[in-house]
This record gives sequence, structure tokens and C-alpha cells, in this order.
Amino acid sequence: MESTSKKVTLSSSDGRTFEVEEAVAFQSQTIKHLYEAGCTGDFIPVPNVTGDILSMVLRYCEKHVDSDTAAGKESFYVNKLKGWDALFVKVDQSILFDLILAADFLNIKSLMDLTCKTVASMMKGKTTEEIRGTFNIKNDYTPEAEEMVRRENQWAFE
Amino acid sequence: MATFFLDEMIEILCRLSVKDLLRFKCASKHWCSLIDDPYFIKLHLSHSLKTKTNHSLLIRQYEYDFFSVNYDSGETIQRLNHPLGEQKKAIKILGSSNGLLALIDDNDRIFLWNPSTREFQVLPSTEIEISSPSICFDRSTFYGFGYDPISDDYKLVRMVQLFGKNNGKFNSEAKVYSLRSNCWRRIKDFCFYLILAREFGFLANNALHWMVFKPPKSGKQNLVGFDLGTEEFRFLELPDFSLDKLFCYDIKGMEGYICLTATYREINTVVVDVWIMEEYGVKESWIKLISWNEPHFIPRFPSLVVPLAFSKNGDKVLFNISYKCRNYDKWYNLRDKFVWYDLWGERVEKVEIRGIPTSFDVHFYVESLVPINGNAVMINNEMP
Repeated sequence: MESTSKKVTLSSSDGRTFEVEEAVAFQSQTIKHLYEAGCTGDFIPVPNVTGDILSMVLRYCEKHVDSDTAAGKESFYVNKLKGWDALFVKVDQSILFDLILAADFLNIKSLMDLTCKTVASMMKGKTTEEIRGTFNIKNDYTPEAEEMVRRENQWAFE
Repeated sequence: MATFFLDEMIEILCRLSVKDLLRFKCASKHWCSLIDDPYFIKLHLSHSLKTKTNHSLLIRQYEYDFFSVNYDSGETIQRLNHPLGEQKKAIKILGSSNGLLALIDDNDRIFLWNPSTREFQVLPSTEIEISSPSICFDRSTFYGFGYDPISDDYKLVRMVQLFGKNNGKFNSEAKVYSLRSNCWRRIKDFCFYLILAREFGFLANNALHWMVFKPPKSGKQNLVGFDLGTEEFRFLELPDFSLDKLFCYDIKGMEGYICLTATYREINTVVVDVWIMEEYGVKESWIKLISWNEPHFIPRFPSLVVPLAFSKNGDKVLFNISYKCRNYDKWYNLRDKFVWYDLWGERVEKVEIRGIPTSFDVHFYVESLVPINGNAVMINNEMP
């Protein structure tokens, strides 16, 4: 079983390197494709992700490496993992947003789902003004146009 | 601050409720056009269907009061403004698909309604083009509503049959309304008997279904499906048992499957069997999902036990148990309640919903942004 212990080295945008098992790294479809396409030099570059975020992502991948196996699908492990996931996303909003960007770039579906779901539940019931603040949205409506859109959906504000 | 790409923003937004999304349309013009985009609306819908989120029950009390309840979160019931506003006219739910509901009043006026966005539209009326076979006749009208993925259109089907009372002759016609074109057109005639006065079909596998009678005229009911894409009728086989022996049965679509609930008496007990057709159109694929012994039995009050939906992880089925009483010729709902049936433990859990009426009709729907039409009218009593 030599292949299980095979390692790959990843390099973050700020030049930090991480040596991890293939199975952990290959949860990222992007890294898997790069590797299969022959990008197997000293390290695989992950240009869009900082070392801090990449180390978090890899921690997530390590934890989830067995989730596709039969043992990992048993409800005991599923529930335990769910608990771990819930703690994993209890971070500052800016880190959460960076995790979404990383999950998208690295193409890790379950992490994308987890982080997007977390942001979506944070948005639940929020006012328009709060959302503008959270996502740094510039209000480009004229006051009249905004009032019209608001009135069309008045009940959603109640 | 991280800046999201469009795809990432869409990934987040498609996990929100319709109400939140309607509110966030006010955040900016960009967000408004993103949320109104037909591609986003479809993505949001398919995400809701896939993950079983935004699933709601539409509850109708006293024939004209509507409520919605998100049964997974156990939230309090919410009153919905009825499309006809304050008019206390009886309205029935004819069918639902992708968050759109087709409603019909006693005068056969049909409305499309999206209770999540509160858009609604009255359908144009259409004449019955056939003549009656004799002066004295009976009329059957069967309806159905659903989405056709081939033409990406919502269709409403109306089948009318006029029977001569004495001569046994009948004339039939079938018409299809398309939401895209906002008009009715006649389609190929059908060759089966409707008999009952008014029936609403159910949707499964992109086809509408009704129980009808096959010619030559017999007492045996058959299930017929109308493919919304090809607009062809076909008969479907039921599991091997006689419908006559049953105390009552209910056939409906549940999450795309045809679902037959058969209630029958055994000595000193009542049994409810729930069958699912796993592979559409294949008789051998009918499986008995649940056989539930005396689930609800109250002496003197007949009850109807009907499954509504699977739970998020598919291990439970939500049931509506409805106790009936009869006054002269009409049946009334005495009391309605919901229960979860645990498929593995074969246990029953009560469902507590605050503010729920004592008796009601219930219809499952998914909350969606699906628009009804460009010329749709917003329903809001407070609107000028």
C-alpha cells in the first residue's frame, strides 16, 4: 500500500509549503487535476490562497479524508464530523469568506457547501442595510427606485 | 474584505429563502438583476429540491383561508393573503409544481399563484367546443397542472366529457393551456371515461395522472398518465390488488414518484399500506414502503391517512391524518393532524405546529422565485 503514504507538497500564495498525503490533497479537484496533468515538480502552487487559510483547508481535508469510505458513512462518524464542521466554521466572517474563495478555487465541493451554508444562515433575516455592510455593496439605486423595489416586495420586510 | 466572484455569490444566494432574497433585491441593482435572473431562479429551485430546503405545506381552512408552514423548522404557521383578497369565495388547489399553484373557484375560474413571491394571474377562460350528446347530460371536468421541462413551460390540462343521460353516448375534448403563450389549444381526443364530476390530477415524472375508466365501460378504475412533453396519454399498472376491497385509497405524486395509499379493514383493525412506483411505468417496481397497523383508529370516525413528503434525509414520511364526519351527503373534515412516520423504527412522532387550524386541506409545495408572467400582478392588500 505504498500509494497511501505518498505525499505531495503544496505552496501557498505567501510562499509557505505544506507536505500532505495525496488522499488529503486530492480532495481538491483542482490539485488532483494539476497533479494528473503532470504538475509534479517540487511542489504544486496554490497561488490564490494564503498559508493561514491553506492550513485550515488542509485540516478540513484531513478530517474528511475518510468520509467517503463505508466506515466514514456510519451515522456515528457522520454526526461526529458534523459537530467538528460546526466548530470549524465558527470563525471571523473575513476568514469564512476567505475559506469560500479557497474552497471555490481548490474545487472542494463539501467545503464549499459547508461555508456557503454558514454564510447563508448568517444572512437569514438580515436587513438590506446589514447585507450591504457585510458584502461591501454600494447602493446604486436612486432613492425612488429603491423605494419602488421595496414596495413591490413590502411583505418580505415585515 | 474578500471579493466574491459571481459564481461564489450565487452559491451563497441559492441557499437563502425566497423571503430573504426578495428583501435583498433592495441591496443594489446588481443584486436585484442577479436574483431576478432566470438562470438563478432555476438554480435556486433545483438546489431547494435537491437539498429539500424551502419545502412548505400550504394549508387551506374554511375553503378560502390559506396558511403556509415550513414543516422542517417547525415554525409558526403564517397566514397568506389569498389572491382574491377579502372575498370569501371557495377556492380549491388544483395542482402545484415548482412553487406555482393552480387554484380554481366554484365557477371554474383558474388562477396561477406563487405564494412565495405573491405573484398571481388569472388564466384566460376557454370555451367547451364539443356539443352535448343529448338534451339531458352530465358533465365531467378533469384538470391537472405541471411543468414540462422539454418546452420549459408550465401547462394546465383540462379534459371535458359530456354524457347523454339515457343514450349512453358521450363527447370529449382535451385542451392545454401554456403559461408561455398564455393561451389554450385543443389537443388530440382521449378515449376513456371520466365519470366523476370534477377531479384534479397529480404530477409525477413530468406527467399528470388521473383515475379513469377504460372502455368498454366497466366498474374498474385505471390510472392514466399524460406526458406533459409529448402530450400523449398512457395507462399505468397498479400493484396487484383489487381497489374494490379497500375501505378507501388515495393516489398522488410524492417527490416525483407515484404513491398509492390503500386503507383496508382486517378483523378488528385498520391497515394502511403505502406503495411507491420506484421505476415510472414499470408495474414490477411497485414496492410496499409502509404497512401501518391501526395507526389512527377512532371508532365511528372514518379517517384518511395520506403521506405528504419525505424528511430531509429520507428516513421519515410526513403524514396527514384526517378524521371525517358525514352530514347528509357531504363529508366534512372533523380534525386534521400531522405525524412523522419513522421508516426504520416504524414509530410515529407527533408534529407540533403552533397556530394550526383544527381541520384543513393540505398541499405540499416548494418555495420558489418562479415568475408567473410579465403581466403578473403583485398581491398585496396594502399596495395602492
